[in-house]
Amino acid sequence: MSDLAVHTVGLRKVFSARTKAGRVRREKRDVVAVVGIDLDIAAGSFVGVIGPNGAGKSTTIKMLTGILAPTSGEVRVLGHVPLRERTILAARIGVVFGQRSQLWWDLPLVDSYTLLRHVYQVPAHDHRATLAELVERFDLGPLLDQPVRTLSLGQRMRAELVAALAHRPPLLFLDEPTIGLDVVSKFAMRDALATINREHGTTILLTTHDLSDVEKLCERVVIIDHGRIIRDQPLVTLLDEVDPDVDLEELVRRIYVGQPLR
Amino acid sequence: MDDFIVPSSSFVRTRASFRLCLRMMRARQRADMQYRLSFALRLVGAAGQLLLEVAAIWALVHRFGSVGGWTLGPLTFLLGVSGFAFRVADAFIGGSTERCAELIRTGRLDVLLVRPAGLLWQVIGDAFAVRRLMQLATMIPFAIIGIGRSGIQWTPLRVVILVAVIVNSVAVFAAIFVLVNCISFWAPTSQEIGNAFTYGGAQMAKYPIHIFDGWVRVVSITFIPVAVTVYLPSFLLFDAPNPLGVTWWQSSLALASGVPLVVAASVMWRFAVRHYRSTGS
Amino acid sequence: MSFRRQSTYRGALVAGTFTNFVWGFLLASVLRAVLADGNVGGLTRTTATSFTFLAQGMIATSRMFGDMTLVASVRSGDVATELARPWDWSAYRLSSDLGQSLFASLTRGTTIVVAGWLVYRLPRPELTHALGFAVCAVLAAVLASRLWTMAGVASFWLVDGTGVVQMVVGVATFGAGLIVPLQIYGAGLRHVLYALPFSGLVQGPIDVFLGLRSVGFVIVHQLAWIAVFEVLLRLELGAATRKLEVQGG
Repeated sequence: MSDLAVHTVGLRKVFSARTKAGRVRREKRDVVAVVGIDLDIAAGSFVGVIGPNGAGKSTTIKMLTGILAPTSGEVRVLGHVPLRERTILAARIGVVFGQRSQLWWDLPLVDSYTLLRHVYQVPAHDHRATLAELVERFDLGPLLDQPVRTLSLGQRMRAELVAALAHRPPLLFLDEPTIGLDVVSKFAMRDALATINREHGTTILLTTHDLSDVEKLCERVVIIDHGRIIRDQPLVTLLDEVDPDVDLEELVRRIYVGQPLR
Repeated sequence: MDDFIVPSSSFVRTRASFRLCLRMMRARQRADMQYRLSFALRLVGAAGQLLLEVAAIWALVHRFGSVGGWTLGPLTFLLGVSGFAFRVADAFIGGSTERCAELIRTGRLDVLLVRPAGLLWQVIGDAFAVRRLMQLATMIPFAIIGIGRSGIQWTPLRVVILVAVIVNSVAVFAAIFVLVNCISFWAPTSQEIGNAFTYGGAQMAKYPIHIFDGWVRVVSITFIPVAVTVYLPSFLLFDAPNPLGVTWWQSSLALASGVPLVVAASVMWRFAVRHYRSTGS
Repeated sequence: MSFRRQSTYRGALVAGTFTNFVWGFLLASVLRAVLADGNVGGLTRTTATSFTFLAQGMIATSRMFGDMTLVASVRSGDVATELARPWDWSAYRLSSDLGQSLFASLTRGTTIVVAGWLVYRLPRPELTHALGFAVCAVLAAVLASRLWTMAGVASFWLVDGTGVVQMVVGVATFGAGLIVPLQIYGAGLRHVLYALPFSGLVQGPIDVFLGLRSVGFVIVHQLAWIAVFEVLLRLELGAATRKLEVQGG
């Protein structure tokens, strides 16, 4: 238990949606977004979470990070209960949202990092060392004085990753980080993530639609559909279930539509 | 792996969040000041708009000599002190109403939730704008003039009461801002309604409420309780026509009204955030 | 065309109407208190009340909170494509603005005016006054369109155009008699304010409605300023398009 970065039992989320039934009446309907997820992730793993849109991936991640309250079920992240211990957990995780930036748009990039240092209460000289290392690895040196809004998407995503790592969190959540990136940036990001996982033992949970990300980076794949985990296994065993000429994308497609794999 | 200290006690966390809020404000200030000309224009515009408003009300008062029996002195006091207190609250919390709605609509509130700092402090820090500080500065002379012209017979007690009036008024206005913020969690596209409560309330506070027609008066004491800010306690400071027959203990009660309002606002905020975290966006 | 686009902004509409209600009843209360038995420049307690609610209604017609859409369009660069189109951009904006004004007047505008009339049991206007008002209201909408367009185009030269619009809103609100009816001001200031274009946005048409000023004078005033704004707008647009060409679009 103590070295499980993520531990959930029967994690469940039900939304109450009010829909229009007829002209005036509003019906209350329960939408079960996440049915009963049991997920254990050991410290130091690199897990890819995939699934079709609306499958419940983001809902699950939101429950793990403390943004959303579960309807029922047990969940512990780094030993903390996300809902009750939001700020304590937040100090120990890093999150990169593909679509939403955590950087200050109008200010030079370095200012964002300074502000975040205070957000995470990182001692000055530790932060300086870590930041210097990360900036070099992600090749952000020349960009530090530019306002964030002038950065290209590829540059910005690298900057976001640095922002999420500067306080050395043991657990990193990535929500669609490579979306819209050009090939060079994608490769750079994958390379960096792999290194961080390998050298620092950072647990990484990656949500993505880009299956080559999963293929290159993840040792384990979790497939979520209709609110439940339909596959949770090491990547290699998943690939073993099909002929060698079938790539991961095709494999996953067959799983989504319910086709037999061979 | 965890090399860094995590603040543990709730008080320490709040203080850290507050300090962070100040830093975020300073960051916004730097961002605001980037384009000198636009910035200067905005400042001038903000101050100018406020001055015009004050000039208009002053013209009204001057033309009629008295409003509701209150003469120029007490009226200037009411206008200056309530206006100043409102702008203090507005300078720090005012922008958060719009910003909160925007954060919810764009989903950026989640980014704030994933940080180890209090949510409200972050929203406030994020919403700071220098022009509101400018508007506060603009009101300072009017507060001073108002206090000077009020005709108060000064005693040490009255000085204390005056300070209490200002502090309490700031607390009341701040509480109203936070309460209005909570609207964003249920109706992020209709945030504009909040302005009627905040800026409308501030307007109401500028006049002796006994001039208002019945139900507006009731609103100013209950629904948007701005009457408690300066009008009600002012009878402790000077003699002015009191057609509503406000008693001294009602005035005193009004002075303490900031406390329950701030508590209510804090409770309501927590409730709103809990609602957001259980229903998502 | 722009009429239908507005119907989707229901939330903002409700919010705006509510704001009008609060301000209307608040300002009316103040004026009624001070005018209890007096008469200032023709304003009695009753007419001042009518004034307040009509003014709130005209906020919708003359879009007195400014028009940020143009500023946003300049900032995003969309305006360049608009200007490149073969039609007369200025006329296009006029028709779009008038559509917005019409929609806002019919929804927010009439709601608040009717509410005020019902609560305070205000008198009906004379027919000639009402007709004169209608004409002046249309002219006010045209004047408003030119004003906000000029303010919006000014943002070509500034990185942050919202500052300019906000300033214009502040001055216009004051000059249009929205904070306090212009009759309240002392003689010298009042004449200056009446001469300025802003009075044509709200004060003028309402004065006609209440029979306080002759419709002829107000119309002439509005038309004169519309003409001036047209000329200024053309010049401004000319400079703006030249700037765009230099920048390469």
